[in-house]
Amino acid sequence: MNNQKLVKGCKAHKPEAQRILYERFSGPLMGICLRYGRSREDAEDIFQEAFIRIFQQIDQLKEPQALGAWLRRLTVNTAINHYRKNKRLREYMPDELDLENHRNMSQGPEILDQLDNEALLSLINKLPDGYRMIFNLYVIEGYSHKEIAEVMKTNENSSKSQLYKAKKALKKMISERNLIEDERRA
Amino acid sequence: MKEEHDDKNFESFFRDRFENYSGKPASDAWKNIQAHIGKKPAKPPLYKAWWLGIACLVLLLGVGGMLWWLPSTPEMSQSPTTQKQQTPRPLANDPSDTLESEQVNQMMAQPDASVPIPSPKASLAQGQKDILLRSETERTSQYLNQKPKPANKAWNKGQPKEVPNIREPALRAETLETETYVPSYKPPKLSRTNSERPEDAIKTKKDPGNASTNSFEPLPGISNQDTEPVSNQLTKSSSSPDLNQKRRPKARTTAYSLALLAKKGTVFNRTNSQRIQDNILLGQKKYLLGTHSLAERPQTRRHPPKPSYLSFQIEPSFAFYRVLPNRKDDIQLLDLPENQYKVDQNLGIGASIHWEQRIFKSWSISIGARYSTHRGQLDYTFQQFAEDSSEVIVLSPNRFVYNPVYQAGDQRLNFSYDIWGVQVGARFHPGKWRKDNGIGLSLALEHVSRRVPQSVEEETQKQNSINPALTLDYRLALPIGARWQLRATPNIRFNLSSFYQDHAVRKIRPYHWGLHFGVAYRLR
Repeated sequence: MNNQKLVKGCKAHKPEAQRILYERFSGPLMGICLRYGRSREDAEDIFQEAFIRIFQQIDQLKEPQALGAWLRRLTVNTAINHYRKNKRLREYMPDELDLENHRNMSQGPEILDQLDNEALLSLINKLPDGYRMIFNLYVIEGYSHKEIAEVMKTNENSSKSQLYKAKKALKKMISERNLIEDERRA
Repeated sequence: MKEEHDDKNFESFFRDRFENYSGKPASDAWKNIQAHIGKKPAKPPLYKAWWLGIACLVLLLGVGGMLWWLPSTPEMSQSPTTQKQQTPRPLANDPSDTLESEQVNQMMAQPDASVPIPSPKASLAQGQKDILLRSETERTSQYLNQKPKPANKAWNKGQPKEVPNIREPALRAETLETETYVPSYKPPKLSRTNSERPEDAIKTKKDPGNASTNSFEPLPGISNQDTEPVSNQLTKSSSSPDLNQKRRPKARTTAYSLALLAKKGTVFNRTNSQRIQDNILLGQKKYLLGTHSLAERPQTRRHPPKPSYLSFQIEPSFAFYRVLPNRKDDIQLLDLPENQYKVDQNLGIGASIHWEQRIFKSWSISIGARYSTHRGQLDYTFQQFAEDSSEVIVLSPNRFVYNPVYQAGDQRLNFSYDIWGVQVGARFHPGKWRKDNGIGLSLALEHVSRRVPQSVEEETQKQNSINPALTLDYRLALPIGARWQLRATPNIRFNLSSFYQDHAVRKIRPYHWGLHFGVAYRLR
C-alpha cells in the first residue's frame, strides 16, 4: 500500500490503514520522541499523543507524498507542546552544570565515535528541557533560530544562547563520561 | 574559527546519528492509541456553523416580517375614511335620476336628523314637481313590477343572489323580529308633504293594505331621530312575493348599514366573504352608495395593537477572557489543553439604542446600535533565559506567555478596547399582550479597536478587527405611564471569534456578562 492509499484509508478511518501507518512509521517517530522526552516514559507519552493527533488531523494532509515529513513535523510539534504543558512541573537546573570544566572535544573527536546511539541519547536526555528542545530542533531537525523562536515563543538570541549552552553541556557530559571510562580502564 | 569548525562537526555528528534514528515503541502503545482514536470526532468547520446561524437569523427575520405585514394588509388598505368617500353609483336606469355624489356624501357626513336631506328635485319649482312626481310614480310602478335586475352584471357575476348567513347577531335578531312583527308604519317626515310622497301614490293604486308589511321599524338603540334621515326606505309591493323575499334581507341590511352609518359615521362591515351593496332608497329611487366586502373585518381590533419601542440602555459589563488555542494549520499542534486556558477579566461601560417591534403575540424583533469601552489589565510574563537579564528578555503581549520554565517575573499591563456594533435580535415574550418581559437572543457585528501595550515601556499598538458576538438576555420591563418603561436586562455576551485573529499562536475570546438598564418609549 503506497502512501496515497494509506492516507486515503486513514482519512476514511479504516482500521487496517491506521494499523499499517502505525507499523510503518512508529519506529522513526518513536526515535524522535526519545530525543525530545526526558525519559522513556516521557517519550512514550509524546509518541501516543502524536499518533492520536495524527489520526485526528490526517484530514488536513493535502499532499500524501509528504506523509513522512508531515508525520515528523507533527510529532516534533507534539513534543514541543508536551514540553510546554509540563514545564511547570520541571525544576530549573542549568546552574547545576559547570559548563567551564570540560575537555575540549577537538582534542579527542574519536571519543564521540566510541559512544553508541543509546549512550548519546541518554546524554541528550540529561540536558535541561529547554536546552534539549532547542538542541534537537536546531541540530537534528534543522530549524533555524528564527523558526525556533517562533515555535518556542522566544527570540532568536535566546535560542542561540540556549543552543550554545546545550552544546557546552553535552560536551562536558561526554568528557566526564570518557574520564570515567578511562579511570575504569586504568 | 577552529571552535566553529568543531561545533559544526559536533552538530553534524549528532545529525547523522539521530536523523534516522528509530526506537521501539511500547508493546501496548497501539492498543492505547486505538482506544483514543475516534473518541473525539472532528469538529465541524467553524464557518459552517456561522453560515447556519446567519441563515437561521435571516429566515427568522424574513418569516417574522412577512407574518407581521400580511395580516395587517386588509385593514390598512381600506380604511373607513376611504369607504366613506366612495362615489355612489345610481341603480336607476335613467341617468337623470342619479343622485349627486356630493349630496350623498353630505348625507353621510351629516347624520343628524335635524338636517333635512335634500331631495334631488327639491330645488325645482313647484310646477315642475308635479310633473316629476307623476313621472316618478310611473317609473316606480314599472320598477316594482319588473323582475329585479342586478345593478351591475359584471359585478354580480358568480355571486349568490341572496345574502345568507349574515353573521352580525344583532342584525339577525332584528331580521327575525321584523319578519313576524307588523307594525303600523308611519312614514318619516321629509321636506315634502305626505301627499307628495310617491309611496302614498303606490299604496293608493296597488295595495295599500300591504304597505305596513314592508315597513321598517327603527332598530334597537337607534332612535327615530337617528334613523330619520335614512329611513326613507321604499316599501316593496306585495304583488311580487318572490321579489320581496329576495330583496327583503338586502333592503334590511341596507337599512341597518345606513342606520349605523348615520349613528357612527362609519361603514358597517360584516365578517362574511360576500360583497354587499350599500343602497339608499330615496322616494322610489334606489341609489347605490357603494359596495363593501363582507370579508372586510370590523374596525374593532381583537388584540391590542402590536407595540413598537425605542429604547436606550446603559450597559455596564464585566468581561472575562479565555485564551484559546489557534486552530490554524501547524499552530494547531501547539494548543494548550483545556485545563491550562488562561482567564483574565476587566470592566466596561457602554450604551445602546434599539428599535423593537412586536411581530406576533409572543415574539418581537429588534435592531440597534451599541458602543462600549473596556479597561483592564492583562497578565504578562516575560522570560529570561540568560544570567544577564539585559541580554534576553522576551515580552510577548499578544502571546500570553505564562509560567515558562525560566520565569523571571510577571508584569501586569494596562489594556483597553472599544467596541462599536450593530445588533439584530429576536425576543420571546412568554407573558400576555403588553407583557414586554422576555428572553432575547441577538447577533451583533462589532468593530473592536484595541490598544495593546507592546512592551514594559507601555508602547501601545492599535489593532482593529470585526468580531461577531451573540447575546443572550432576559429583559424585565416596568411600565411607567402609558408609553414609558423602565427596563433591566441581565445578559451574557459571547464573542464568536477571536479578538486576536492576527496572532499566530494564541487567540483570546472574551465573554461579557452584565446588567443593562434603561428606558423605553412606546412609539405606537
